[in-house]
Amino acid sequence: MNLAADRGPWLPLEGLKVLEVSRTATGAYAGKLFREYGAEVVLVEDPGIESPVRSYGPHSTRGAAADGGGLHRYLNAGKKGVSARDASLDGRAVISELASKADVVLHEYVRSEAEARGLTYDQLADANPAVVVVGITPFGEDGPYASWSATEEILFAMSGRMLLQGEPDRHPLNYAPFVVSSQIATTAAGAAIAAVTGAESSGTGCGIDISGLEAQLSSVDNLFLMYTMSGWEPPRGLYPPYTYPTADGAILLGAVGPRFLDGMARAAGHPEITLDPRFSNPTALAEHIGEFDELMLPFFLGHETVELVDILQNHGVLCAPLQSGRTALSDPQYARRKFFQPLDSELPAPVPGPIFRLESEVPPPVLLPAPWPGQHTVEVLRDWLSAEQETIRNLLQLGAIA
Amino acid sequence: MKFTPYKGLRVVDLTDVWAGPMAASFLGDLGADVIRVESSSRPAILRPTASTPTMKGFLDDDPSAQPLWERSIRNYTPNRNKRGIALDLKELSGREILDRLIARADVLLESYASGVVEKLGFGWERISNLNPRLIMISMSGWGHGGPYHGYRTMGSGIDATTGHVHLRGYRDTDVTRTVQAYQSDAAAASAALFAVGVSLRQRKRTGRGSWVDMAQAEVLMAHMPTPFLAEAYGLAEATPLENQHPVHVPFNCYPCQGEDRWIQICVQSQEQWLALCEVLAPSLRDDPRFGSPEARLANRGAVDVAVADLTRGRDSLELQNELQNVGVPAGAVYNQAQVANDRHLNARGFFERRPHPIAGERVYPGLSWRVDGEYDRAERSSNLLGEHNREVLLELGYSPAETDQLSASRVIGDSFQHLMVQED
Repeated sequence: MNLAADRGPWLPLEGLKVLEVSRTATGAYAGKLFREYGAEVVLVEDPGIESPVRSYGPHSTRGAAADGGGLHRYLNAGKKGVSARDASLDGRAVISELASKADVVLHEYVRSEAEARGLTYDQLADANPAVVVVGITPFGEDGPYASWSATEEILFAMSGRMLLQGEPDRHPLNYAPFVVSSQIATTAAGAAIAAVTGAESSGTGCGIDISGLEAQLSSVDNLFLMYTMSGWEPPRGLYPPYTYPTADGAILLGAVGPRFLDGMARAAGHPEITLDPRFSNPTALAEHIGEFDELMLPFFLGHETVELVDILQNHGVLCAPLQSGRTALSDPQYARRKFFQPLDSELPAPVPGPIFRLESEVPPPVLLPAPWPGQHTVEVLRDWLSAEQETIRNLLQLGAIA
Repeated sequence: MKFTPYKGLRVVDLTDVWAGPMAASFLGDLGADVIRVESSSRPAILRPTASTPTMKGFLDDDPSAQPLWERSIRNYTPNRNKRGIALDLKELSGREILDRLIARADVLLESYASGVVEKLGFGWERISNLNPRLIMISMSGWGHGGPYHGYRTMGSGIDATTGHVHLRGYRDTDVTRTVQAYQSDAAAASAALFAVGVSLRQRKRTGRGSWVDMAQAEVLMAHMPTPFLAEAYGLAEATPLENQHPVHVPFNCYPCQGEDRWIQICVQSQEQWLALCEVLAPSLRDDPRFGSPEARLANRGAVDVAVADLTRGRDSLELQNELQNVGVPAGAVYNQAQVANDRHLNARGFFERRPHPIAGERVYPGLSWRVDGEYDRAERSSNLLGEHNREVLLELGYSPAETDQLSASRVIGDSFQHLMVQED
């Protein structure tokens, strides 16, 4: 299914050609963002290397890994698939030729690896001066750790964030899968689209080096400045849960402090607690939090989550339902906004849709299923490189493409 | 700065806390002229006017030094590369200043709960008439419309309501006892950066601006697909992985020598396993329970115990280097001092020193990208309250006399001193 022409809000990136030479979910998520807003995204895979995105699953219980798995379908829906062998010089040549036709090249190589493949901006600039080349790597394109390998868990650990997560007497905790890599990828996509804007007016593209570690340090929180500006190393478990059970689940309070005491007191029908010296300043409240909880618990347990959140919010208390992804799927707010969308045109199961819409009630287009390896190799070589039938046949015979 | 694709772009930043300010800083990092509009009568969350003696988060760990609202560390990181004005939007003449700013702006960012800017008189309907080319990025917690319209939240509430908190606790601990998580702000900041680029392209096609009604909760859910994919494939409800991988073993956080020192090791192939054994204890290779990826998955608990026994006596940084040198993905769980001293980040020249009239010269993280082999350095540290009132108002066409008058009548301001007196 093509993006229909009348769906203006979904076509802002129409006409942009993006070449994505990615191995991990990070590059794949950056490519997904471009695809969702109308760009043509060609995903290049190496037939000789197992894709960690495809192998992640989940896999259908019916047919093993035949569909490439849920993560692949989620990240790569609507992309075109080209299969080119990295170990073959002809395969590499095909990739760099495609890059010379692209507006944006997303890859996950450090500088020496990109150079060996003809994928740096300097190498592409003669043929394609306006190209924007984005390398997304764990530690950046150069430097002492450039050749190290890392997962998002390792980057989270080395950013100083993991140490704070969890309970003080237990091991530090990771965040949920892909939240760190997706944030890095989104930053990369944001820099890339800005660079395209610049390249369109100046005629000159650039090479953007995204270090996953640095992208986190630059944008995620105050920890580093807390240390350099006040010498303070925040301890693990700094922010208590502030979560309470309800009749049918749990809620999280945005903050428990005197600022919200008045609203809490009125909502719970305990006006006397605003005057109680045990609760009326933050230090005292922290000391007497157990007594506070005991007093409030019957109120929380007496209401269902949705109702309780509404009561508290109407009294000016910041709070949110504490729920699982499964519950979020039926949360009335996301349902009303039609946020969850079919995975692709063949599997209508709801998954998170595009992360924003441009002034539109129009639901996003449903994308074709993620490609199987090499599904569009011939088509893309013909369209992008005007390759002759015979050239393509030769490359296939050589095993350079598949 | 050299990489300035958004040079000439005028941005009005009406946001507070983290996600919005960070997004606006990104635009400033790319060369945009960002005007941060603060309230001169109601201190932003990033600018406290009251403290207690034990409170953390102030310059030099001193919660008593004044002016307090310029000494809050939280105000510093997400406010680089902006100019700042402070207005009283309760006053008609204050709202007129914002009107003039918006009339000439390309992008307006706001992160209030849905309904707030409408009440202030700056809803999309009115301001898009004022400036049809305006791009407005709203980035509230839950988005506009729907049953949660008007609900307010911080990042921790977003992490709770999306299912993120559910997935990042300890397996054996009830979810209501888990400490808070804060990922939604960073996710939404980056998403807003991308949204501006997409909207600018849309404007180029249509000649008109657009309103992006972004919900921070939705951004975070898109960044954490696994619980939704489990449902899509009819599997059991997703549960916390802690620091593990669904199939790769050993893949976990292991203790090291010293107090609260840890290393995250992520073995993903047989080759990496053999290299790990070589570093930790070659005899591990011979244990039949650990011989293949499948065997290690079946004996995950035993593998983790064996590896932890061997890492416990090791220095986390030395072990990180030793493992990475033989191709095993591993990273020490850094504290902030280790981040600041990391040899790679320092060799790359990532950190930068910048002056500030109150904070003095300090070390800051660099920008999120390096372009054509060079880092751009931020041109401005966080603005002082109302620092650019006069400069910006003159640009907007106010005369010096009008500016003085607005200042005298406290429609614009550069201090919260009068509020603190009232509180006493």
